Formats: sequence, C-alpha cells, structure tokens
Amino acid sequence: MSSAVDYIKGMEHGLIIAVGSGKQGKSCSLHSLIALCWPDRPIYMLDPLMYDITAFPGYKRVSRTKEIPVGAVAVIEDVNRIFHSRGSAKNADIQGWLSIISHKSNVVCLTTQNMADTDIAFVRSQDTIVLNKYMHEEDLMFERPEFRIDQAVANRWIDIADSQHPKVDRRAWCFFPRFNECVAIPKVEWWTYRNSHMLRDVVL
Amino acid sequence: MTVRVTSDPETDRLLSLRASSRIPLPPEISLADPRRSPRYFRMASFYDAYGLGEHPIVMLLKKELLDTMMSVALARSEHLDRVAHYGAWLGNETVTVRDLASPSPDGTEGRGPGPRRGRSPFPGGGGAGAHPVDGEPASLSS
Repeated sequence: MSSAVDYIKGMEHGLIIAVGSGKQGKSCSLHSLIALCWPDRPIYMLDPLMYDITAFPGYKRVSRTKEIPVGAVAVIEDVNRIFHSRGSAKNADIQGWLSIISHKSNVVCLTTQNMADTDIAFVRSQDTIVLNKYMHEEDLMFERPEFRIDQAVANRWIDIADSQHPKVDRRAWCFFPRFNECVAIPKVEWWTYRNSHMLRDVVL
Repeated sequence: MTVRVTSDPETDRLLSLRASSRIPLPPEISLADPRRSPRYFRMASFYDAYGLGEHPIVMLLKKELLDTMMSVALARSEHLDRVAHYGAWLGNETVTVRDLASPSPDGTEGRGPGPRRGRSPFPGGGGAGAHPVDGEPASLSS
C-alpha cells in the first residue's frame, strides 16, 4: 500500500503534523488518514473555542488536554490559534502533555499553515510524522529553515503527482518527507463543505 | 532520503528560486561558484554557436572547467551548503508516488503506476510503540 500509511497505522502514540497553505486539503487529508488508519480509536477535537462538531461523526470535543482519555486520537485544527510559536515561554502545558502522550497511548494530529507560527515543542519530544500539503511560494519563504527544504520538495512532487494523475483531486496529495512518498489519501465519505469550514462561525 | 543541512540566506534564496522555477536548471548552476560560472557558460555558448558544442575536445574542456569549479566550490566552506542542497535534491528523485484515492480494478490499491523510481529507504509497518502493551484498550489495534 504505502510505507507512510502502514507506519502510521502501527503508531500507538506520536504526532502527525499536516502543514500547508490554507485550503490545500490539510484537514480533509488528516481526518481521512485518521479514518483510514484508526477506524476504531476514539477521536477528540481539542479546542478551547465552542463550535459545532456534529459534522464529524463519532467525534467529541474537549477544551483541555487532561480531558483526553488513554488511547484516544487528539485533533487540533489550526494549531497556531491555540499553541502558537510565541507561547512556549509563557505556558509549558503543551510540553508537559506531549511528554506523557507515549504513556497515555495518544496520537496528536494537528494542522498548521506554517511551522514558523507553531509551537516548536510539538516536534521535540515524540515520534513526529510531518505531512506536507502544497505551500504557496510566498509562505514558503517564511517557513522555518529546518522544514523549508522538505516543503520545497513536497511542492515539486505534488506538482509531479498531480500531472501524473490528473483525475485525482490535487488536494488529495500528501508528501511524507520521512518516507519519501507522495500519497493521495482517499477522502473520507462524510467530508463536506461544513467540515472544511468548521470554524466559520467562531468569534476570536 | 531526507538530507538536512545548515543553510544560509544566499543558499535559501537560490533554493527558493530553483523550487519556484518550472524550468529545470542544469546542475552546473547549483554546483558552480557564481563568480566562475559566467566564464564556463560563455565558453559553452561560443562553441555551441559554431556547432562544436559536442566536439570531444570541447567536451574535455568543459569537463576540465566544471571539475575546477567543483573543486573550488568544495574547498569553500560556505559553498558546501549549496552542494549539499543539490545532493538533497538528487536524493529526493527516489520519491514514490502512491495513488490510494482511486480504486484499482482489483480493489486492492490505487490505479497509480506504483513506485516511480527507486524505493523508500524505510520499511513500512510498525510505528512508534507499535507493539501492543498489556492492558491497553483493544481499540488500539488497527
């Protein structure tokens, strides 16, 4: 099938980070990957803001990390709203939580538009799989240097994969730098406009 | 293969240009010291204009100049980054394209042509903590 998908299926704990510019299919691919790899695990949306998650069948919403039970998958949408790059010095909660997700058998899945705006604690402590979606070149110029090369290569291979498979939705393509794979993740059947605009009514 | 190197602003700028370009650039541009490459390309253009670009002596001359440029490049520490970048670029030619979104006739895999070239260096299966732990929820097994 795919080395990346097979590896993720076997993950008991760790992080999956979907990174790419807005509206490139990060959330859709991430939730589709979760459905593909762990159909039976409980899934919790971690977000302090209140919004309707009924469009996500079987999901639950929690506002604090301690509410996530053992064995669950935690999803943080647009993580830069909650755990942004300027937050580490002020709040160490995220480091504390990430250091024990291996004990609690949690997988943390998050989407971000740029790693430069994301709390770098996410990539420091656990097995982290980065899933690159397409990133616009202007955004790429401001990506962290550690991730910029992989993202540039991802852009190139998403272009190549898209030209090789014109019938596949371009936004389905994901690049996994660790596995050197460009994979089209099949969209989960319940994904609709409501899912991709879940934060439309949120007031910040 | 993923190669991570320490970068510098000039290398990043060149890589961004290369990444954003739809035109494949010749390796000489990445490997050559920018202060030496104009001479190389002037010489190549001169012989090409006279239809002698593929002449064995001209090819030998080009190789000598390219070797010199690469030697100089490797001797310059700040230039190593650029060479490493190009190495990373070449290494990523082994990327595999997998289409799981389109069902194949036998229903087992996408309709993609399979590995484009080469193989992923990492074996599949078994992520972090893949081995089940006693007392863990049954739902953990996929």
